[in-house]
Amino acid sequence: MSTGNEILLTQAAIDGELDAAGMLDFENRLAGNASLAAEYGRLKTLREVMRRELVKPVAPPALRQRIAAMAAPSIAPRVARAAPPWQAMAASAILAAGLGGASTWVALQPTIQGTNLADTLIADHKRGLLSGQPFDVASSDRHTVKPWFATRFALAPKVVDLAAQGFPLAGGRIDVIAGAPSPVLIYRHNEHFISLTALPAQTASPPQALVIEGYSVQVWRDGGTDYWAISDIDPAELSKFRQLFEAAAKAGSEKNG
Amino acid sequence: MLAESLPEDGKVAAAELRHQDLRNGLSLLTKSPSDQHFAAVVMPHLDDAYALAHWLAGNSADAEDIVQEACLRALRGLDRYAGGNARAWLLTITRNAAFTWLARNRPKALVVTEDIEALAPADGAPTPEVALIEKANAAAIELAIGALPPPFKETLVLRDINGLSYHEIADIIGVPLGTVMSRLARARGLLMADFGSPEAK
Repeated sequence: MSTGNEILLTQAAIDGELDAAGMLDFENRLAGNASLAAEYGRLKTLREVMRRELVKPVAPPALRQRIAAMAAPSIAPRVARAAPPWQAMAASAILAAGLGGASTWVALQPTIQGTNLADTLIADHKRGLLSGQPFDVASSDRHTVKPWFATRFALAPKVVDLAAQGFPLAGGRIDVIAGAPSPVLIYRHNEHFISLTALPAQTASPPQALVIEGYSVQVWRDGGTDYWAISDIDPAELSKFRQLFEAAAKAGSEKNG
Repeated sequence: MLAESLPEDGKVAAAELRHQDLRNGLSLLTKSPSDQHFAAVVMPHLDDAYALAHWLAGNSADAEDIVQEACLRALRGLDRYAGGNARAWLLTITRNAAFTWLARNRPKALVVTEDIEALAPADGAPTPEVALIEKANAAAIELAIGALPPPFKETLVLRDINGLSYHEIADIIGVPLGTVMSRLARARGLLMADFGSPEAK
């Protein structure tokens, strides 16, 4: 029977943990010690059997996606908490500047229009709900959501607080519309979500209200931006949301000069 | 807090800052440095974290919970990651998350009554036969590893599944090198006794 130390030594040899001198010494011992050699053979067999039989578990793709998505929501609180003055000012400056005028964002946006665009936005809205994670940043605080967009877009969309009117903010998301990342605000109404996508205004005036596959769509223009609201709530409710949002956005830009 | 508390002089700087932001617009569209950091440190070692969690929890659903919790902790602690061995860092967090999870959900699994550091092989126990060890199949090995007391199991998994060195394992578990070696020997001894004893067949 091998002693405890001999077992540890044998094991270290198998695991490749001995240096050259240690290995030489071990091999010398092995040659003259039958029980040590037997232990060596058993451990070696065990290792080979485990390598042969065991498959290393691999993280499922869904888990991988959830983990990858995790990094995004963490940014908002960090920015809000530790924003240096210049960053706060930059965020404010974007808001104060509003969305009018030309920007890189506009230049980047290829053209898709009308119902095609509505279909795309409805698909994004549905996918957001199906994934169980309709937003990349979850917050009812517009002061969290605004800077989160500000770190990602040269011009952040207007974010207004409509909680008192029954449409609390739920968070923000980035969708890729026609190849360009676009900011999406998510509002909640009772148990339903409203996806509000801000896109650079196209030349043709967009449809104002649509119902497609049971989804209500409201579109309105504010300066250089088209706002597309998508939800499964009643068209009249969504129209009310639009009016509230427009009024609040107008009041907000007047206040900010 | 941001827009509302903006003092008058904020407007003076606004045009300049906006200009800079427009120039930075393209790079801002991509992910922030912190995202990239998380992606670079954590994502490459996700399979290792999952494998460890899977073996410690014994099934995939619980392993996913543990890995998710571990990655949340990793994300929160990303500022404290000082570079170096990212795999060992993530596995340390995963290992701790797994034991927290086990303590909460399966407290009985963590109770170890025997003196786990005693190495002495039982006298009179039959010497495991190489030919029998050779025949062990995946199901038998998984069952035997699953039955190991947690301290042995985690050491064995870190070594033989994750392929870490003794030093890395000692760092991850927080025990001396000698303890890693003796736990590994005990774990393997138990497995060999399981597969290699004639009456087991």
